[in-house]
Amino acid sequence: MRLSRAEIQVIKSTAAEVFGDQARVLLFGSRADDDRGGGDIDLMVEQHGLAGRALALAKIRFLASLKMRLGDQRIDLLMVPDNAQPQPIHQIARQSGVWL
Amino acid sequence: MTLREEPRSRLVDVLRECRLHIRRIDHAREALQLQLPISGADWQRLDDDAVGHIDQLLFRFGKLQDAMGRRLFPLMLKVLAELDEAEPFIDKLNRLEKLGLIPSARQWVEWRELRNQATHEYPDAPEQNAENLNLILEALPRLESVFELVATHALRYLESGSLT
Repeated sequence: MRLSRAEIQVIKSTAAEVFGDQARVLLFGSRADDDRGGGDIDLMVEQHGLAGRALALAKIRFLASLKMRLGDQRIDLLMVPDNAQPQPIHQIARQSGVWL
Repeated sequence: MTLREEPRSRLVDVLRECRLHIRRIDHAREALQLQLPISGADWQRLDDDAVGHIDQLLFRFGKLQDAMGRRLFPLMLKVLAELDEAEPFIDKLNRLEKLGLIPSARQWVEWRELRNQATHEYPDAPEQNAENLNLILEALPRLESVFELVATHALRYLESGSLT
């Protein structure tokens, strides 16, 4: 995993602030793999309770806070659907990813 | 062009461009006539004209952000002798906020995320699309007033050669 401990802490605390203490964050993609290059931070967030407008706002605030704290960079956010069927991408992320 | 245009004419150009984007945004908003907030069901019932206006809104929201963020903001920092071109964008925003030229750096960053998020249409989640549109429509007048604030400072510079 190619994120510093400080970066991991920022991601976890920002997720808790925005999505609640029960939310979990998974790092997947190239940053989860020590052998790969590439800069994008791919995150999957699992949370319960936020939907509609509150969820739309939370996603925006999460990404904005991360960029302000970690520096401007490509961060992609995938949400685990709360009340709907997961897609193949969620399964792939779980298989290759690391829960923070 | 080999000559580097001085800030004055570039400022005039970018202000004019921003006003054009705002005019298009206002026209599209007026044409939409939506009862806010819209729901997922409303989203699915949008007719072709409405979709066209929404596309225009999103496009111009993005263009206005780009014109302000990439050109107007650096120009304002330059005329204040505060421009460090190598400085990361978010640091420039923080500087602009400290100088009182924009109300909030964080708000600007959130608007950027909103623009990215709203640009994605989720075919299976009309509710998400609807909420993103609601947020865009709420953000638009605030974005326009940030522009007016910056434009006021810009005009002061253009008229008097200084910002004080």
